[in-house]
Amino acid sequence: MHDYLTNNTQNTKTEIIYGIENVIDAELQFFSKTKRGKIDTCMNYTRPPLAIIIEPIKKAFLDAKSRGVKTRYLTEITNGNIPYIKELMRIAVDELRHLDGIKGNFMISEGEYLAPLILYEKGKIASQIIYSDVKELVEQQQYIFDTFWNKAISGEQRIREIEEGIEPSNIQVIQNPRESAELAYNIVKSAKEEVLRIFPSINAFRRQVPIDVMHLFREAIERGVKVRILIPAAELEIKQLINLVNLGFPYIDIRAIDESLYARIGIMVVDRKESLIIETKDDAKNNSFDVMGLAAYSNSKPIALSYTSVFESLWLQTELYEQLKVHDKMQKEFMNIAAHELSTPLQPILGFAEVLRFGKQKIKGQQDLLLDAIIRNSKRLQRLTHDILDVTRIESQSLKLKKEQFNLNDVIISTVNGITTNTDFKNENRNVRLLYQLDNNNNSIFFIEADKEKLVQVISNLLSNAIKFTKEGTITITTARKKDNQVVIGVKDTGTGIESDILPRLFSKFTTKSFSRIGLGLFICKSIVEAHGGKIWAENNNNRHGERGASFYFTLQTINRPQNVKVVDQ
Amino acid sequence: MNKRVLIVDDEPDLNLTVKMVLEENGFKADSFTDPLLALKNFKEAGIYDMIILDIKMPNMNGFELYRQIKKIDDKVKVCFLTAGEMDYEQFRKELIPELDKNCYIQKPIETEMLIRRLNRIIAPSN
Repeated sequence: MHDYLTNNTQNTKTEIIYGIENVIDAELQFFSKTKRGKIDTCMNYTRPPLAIIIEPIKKAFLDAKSRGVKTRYLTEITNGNIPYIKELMRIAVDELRHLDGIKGNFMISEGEYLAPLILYEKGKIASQIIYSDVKELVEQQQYIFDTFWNKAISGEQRIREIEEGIEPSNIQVIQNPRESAELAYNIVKSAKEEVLRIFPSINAFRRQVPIDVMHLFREAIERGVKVRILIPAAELEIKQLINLVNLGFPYIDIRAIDESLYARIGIMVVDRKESLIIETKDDAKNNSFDVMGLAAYSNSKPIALSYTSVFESLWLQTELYEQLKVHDKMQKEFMNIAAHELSTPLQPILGFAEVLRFGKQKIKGQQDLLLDAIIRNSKRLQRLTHDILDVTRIESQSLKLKKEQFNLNDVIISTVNGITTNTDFKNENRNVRLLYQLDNNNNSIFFIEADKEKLVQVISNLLSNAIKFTKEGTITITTARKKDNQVVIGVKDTGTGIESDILPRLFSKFTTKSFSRIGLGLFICKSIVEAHGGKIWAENNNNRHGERGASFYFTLQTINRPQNVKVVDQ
Repeated sequence: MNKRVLIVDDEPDLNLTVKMVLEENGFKADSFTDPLLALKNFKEAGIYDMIILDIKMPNMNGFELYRQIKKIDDKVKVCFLTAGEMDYEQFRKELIPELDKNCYIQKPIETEMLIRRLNRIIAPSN
């Protein structure tokens, strides 16, 4: 039974053919009429099995192929139809391509068009088919087919993707802002590990604050997703906004990037797999939907990774900027401290020298006192110069050790003696006692291979710190054997202890609680100890046991008693 | 009559040298290394013509000490002997806005220059 829809003077027609047998017949005729040339077929995912299962159709394909007809087949390849697709590709068609979610069912030869109307017959032969040989209709459908064909990927590639479990890559351009907003919403919701977001401007961020988006980020964070946000704006401006946001969202890592990076697109990357780029049409508007232009979504990993690297390099830049600020601050601090530390001893040197040279009155009998003060302050300058040079050497990695083998105990004893016999120590520290606790045990003699001068510098520094912060009591030096041929040297005082705010950066440069120190000593100690392969650390003594003060420890590697070193028996 | 000066600096050598050069030049000088002790001893107005203070000191900084002393003696002149006044300017502006940058004397300073500066601060008209 045929319904004629058009019938014109060129004797062409468009008709609907009813009945399964008639439908098959129409298809067979369609094939057989194509003597050479080509047949293009576009079918949804339910059709490829039929082309194999229904013998006459399969034969029609094979015959056409053997006549030299070029056949192209476009369909959606799914897990379910793969075996039939493979068979089609092997025996029946010249080229087969895949397109996601394809719905059209039609075939075009040189001059004819055939479209099965698949109504309720999922997986079965259609009971109706449209036939046409109207030139305009055939050309129109050919245009549609070619458009689809060019968007499609090769069947082999799609089969491989399915078989190897690879997500197919695609790029989607979205015109409707509501649709792109919904997509953005969904991909953040689906994030498993990471969300990276670059806002095009502070306004874009501001627009998102009152709406659901920040909640979405919070939910993601609560699921364990790391969320990082970059905004091109002044830091202060962002801080104000962050304060507002942080009331409810404490863990979002938001950073400022240079305002010159103000952009017309916003970038979002989720799990380094999916990316969404949204254009800004008019940044001045308040409503997000009025602002959003075209959006491009992609689940291509290479694209997501490219945006990730853009994000990471901007993120790194913020870190470098922070470091630079810290560095800058430290340098200023150093200049201030250095100026103070240089001028403080210089004033007495200058003043006393002038008094000695030009003074008229009180100098009688005081010359030695004044000269002592000049020497003392000159030494302080000398120490400062050495410290600064040491730090320069440490930082340029040119700290050289002149290692020799010696008895550690002897060096400690002579360092302690050097301090306790010093006039200034005797005058100023009447209530402080230095004690080196040495067991009368052969096992407590330690030989080491180290730079003696630098080791003395470390011990002197720890002792002079201890003396500085101990008004009265005992400073105890200990040496203890540890496993792996290590010796731990300890300096324990009964002083004021280390304040908790400086404890974490105790061994960093310019850390000082003293009003007359530059704060390089412990940094130098740490560098020297580490250059010897040792460790240095400090702790406050246990208050609960009624102990005041702090203890410093460092380790050194011991060696066997050398042959050529004379040992003074205790 | 000898001008009387109070020196407060936590560095004993600095205290001593300023005290000595001032005394060499006809001033009467007292010095303290502890600002709290200096304040405790500052009992009444009119004892000193001028106070020379360090800024960075333990227990109490020089600006705060000046403010406390001004409560006792609002006529006493002040100068701060310092190595880097720039660090303290913001802080000074907040704490003692009535003073200007001329209140700083940069150390180290030669005796002659120090005396000239002090004389000018004590008697600006001369």
